Amino acid sequence: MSLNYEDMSWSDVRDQFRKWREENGRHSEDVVQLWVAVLEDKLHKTGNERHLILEQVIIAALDTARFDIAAQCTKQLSIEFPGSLRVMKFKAMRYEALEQYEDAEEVLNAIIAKDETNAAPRKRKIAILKACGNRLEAIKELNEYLKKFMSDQEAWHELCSLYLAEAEYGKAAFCMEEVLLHNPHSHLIHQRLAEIRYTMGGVENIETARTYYSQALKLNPQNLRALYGLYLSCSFLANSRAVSSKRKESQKLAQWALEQVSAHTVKLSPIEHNDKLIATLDNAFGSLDIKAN
Amino acid sequence: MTELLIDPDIRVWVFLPIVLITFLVGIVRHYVSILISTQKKAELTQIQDSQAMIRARLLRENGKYLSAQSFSMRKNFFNNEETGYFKTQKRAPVAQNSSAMLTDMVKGNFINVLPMVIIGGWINWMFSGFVTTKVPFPLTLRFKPMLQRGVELASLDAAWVSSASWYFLNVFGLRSIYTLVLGENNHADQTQAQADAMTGAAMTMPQDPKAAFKAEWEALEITEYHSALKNIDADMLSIASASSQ
Amino acid sequence: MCEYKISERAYTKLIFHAAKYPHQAVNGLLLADKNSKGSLVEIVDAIPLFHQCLHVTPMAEIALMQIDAYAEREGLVIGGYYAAPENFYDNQLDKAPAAKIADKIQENYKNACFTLIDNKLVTLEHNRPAIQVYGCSNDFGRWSKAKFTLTHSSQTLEGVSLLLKRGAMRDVIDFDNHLDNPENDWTNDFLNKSLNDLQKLY
Repeated sequence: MSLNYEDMSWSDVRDQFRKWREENGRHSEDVVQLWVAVLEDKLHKTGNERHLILEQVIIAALDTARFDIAAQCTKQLSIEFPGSLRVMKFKAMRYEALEQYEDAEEVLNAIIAKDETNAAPRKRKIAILKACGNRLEAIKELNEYLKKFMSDQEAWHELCSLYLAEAEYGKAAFCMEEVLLHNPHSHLIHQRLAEIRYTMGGVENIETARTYYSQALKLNPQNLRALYGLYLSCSFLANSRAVSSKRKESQKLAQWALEQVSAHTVKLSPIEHNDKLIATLDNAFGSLDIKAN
Repeated sequence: MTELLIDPDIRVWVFLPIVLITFLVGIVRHYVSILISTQKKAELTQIQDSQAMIRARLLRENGKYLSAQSFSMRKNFFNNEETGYFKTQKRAPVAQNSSAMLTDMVKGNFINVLPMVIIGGWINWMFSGFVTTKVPFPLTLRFKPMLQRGVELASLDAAWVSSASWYFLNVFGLRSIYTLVLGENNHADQTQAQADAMTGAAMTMPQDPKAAFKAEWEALEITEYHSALKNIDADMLSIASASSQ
Repeated sequence: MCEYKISERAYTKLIFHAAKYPHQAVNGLLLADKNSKGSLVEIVDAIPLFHQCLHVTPMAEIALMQIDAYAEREGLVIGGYYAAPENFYDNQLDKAPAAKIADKIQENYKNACFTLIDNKLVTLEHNRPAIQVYGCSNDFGRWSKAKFTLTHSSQTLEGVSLLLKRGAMRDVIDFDNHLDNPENDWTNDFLNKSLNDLQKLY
């Protein structure tokens, strides 16, 4: 997305920032550029929203290594809220971005000592472990954290990614299920859970994968990953040692999924003869079918 | 009955001052309460408990999307007779007369009750006995004690409002003005504060985690697993066959 | 042990892919010339694969299958795997995500290479190739460092640096983007030009 900085008034920028905040999008480069170009001088006009904007800009500035902006915004906040733990967190994040992890940890420990119920500094400490490449330690700490804050779905999601990186698929699936309990109507979570189950392999897991792929498709019929996934798991099951009626059903479903994929893709894709590329899937898995019979 | 005519001085010196005083007292209350109230600090165990409760509730509500094994694993985590979370976590009931609670109560009284008594009494004394305004619709006699406190005249029409009653109408009626001026969740409105104090809704955590755990344990115990995804394969198949025909 | 020759097109795409998602691990495939003979393998093109979740297999299976067919059509063969670790300082092979894909490719194509992007070297002024190339010397499937050359080395590096400065990497498309929206073209046809022509675009 390209934004035309010259044409945007400060209220446009404010709305854009708000939108990004609501979507949880970082867009760090854009945020920093818009801040410098438009919003910096007009901050006082944004009223009470300015604190949120400042926080957003600080994180974006740290992302893009604009430490001058980050320091300046943090200062602005700390003048307004002296001694605020929330502002202290940004100081710690600045140390993190500068890779002065020991200083960062010191600040974070100070925050926790002042308010032990504050979840954010604990999560930052885990992030530091991850940044140091200490994945196993991060997993351990995150588990400790989740014993106390067990309905923090963001943390469960992160733990899932960490387990996936360690190829602990069973544990990753557990974490994803925990996220699913929070958002039972998100097709993306269903899809990710199915992907993990499929990766684990074995008839039982792939059956579960098929179920979750189906649910993902029901929630969003346009989800290409789910269509492909349904195809894969159904073709696997069609070649498994199941009852022949079940295998027929799976085959039919696989066929249907592939047709859907083909129809969706060919309509939009600029790649020449994309349908043929997709058809090779059928050849590959179809040949398995012959062997099985 | 002859029409009553009210001296314009009553409007200037009684009617408007009462509105103004009640409003300003509300504003002052708001800032005083911000000044002296401390953020209620929840303890770590309280947070842990409430998060566990949320997780258990979500399991009850959305557990149907998990596989049977995953569901019973989680249920076991909470409810196992020997090792279940709700069985093993022993929480001391929150002491009722802890000092923190006491200061909270004193502060609450200080902000809520004291001004109410003092200002109310003062207004009653200062502006007693005035007929201040008239509601623009006829009312039955039963409204007389409500609207005409301090003016006991049997022959006065029920639609007339006395100064003391006007004060009370203001106390209860200014809430939306405060939201307009001070924003949501302000501390100016004492009726809200009183309601909170009555029900204990101001507390973030249930008073007694033990009882809450037991309730959640029971709720989870009677929750049976019904897969919401049981029929999804058949559904998909019917969609597939419908589109291929 | 073979030597590898990496074309500027392949190099541009893989560096762009890593630069488009600086906060995430990325991976992709390298396409080699089918007719490369002897001990010199020519890597002609690169197909960026994923950036969201590299550790699950279903979409990787789908992508490999389709890219294999695509390579066949273009007279190429899947001849390697590239990956950029998530952590900035990781530059060892054992830190590379989803290395299993590389092993699988090697089973099918003996001379396959494993290219690791060295995050530290991807800069706006990079003057040496920001990659390490590994090859399989024997039948045990162990990866060891291999020699490689970049075509027109200095011009390529200069051109890529310039395009990075102008933000050209935002337009590179990987298979994840394609799955999000089939309008996105994972072959990155628009990048199949000489770097000089590309510079005119930005």
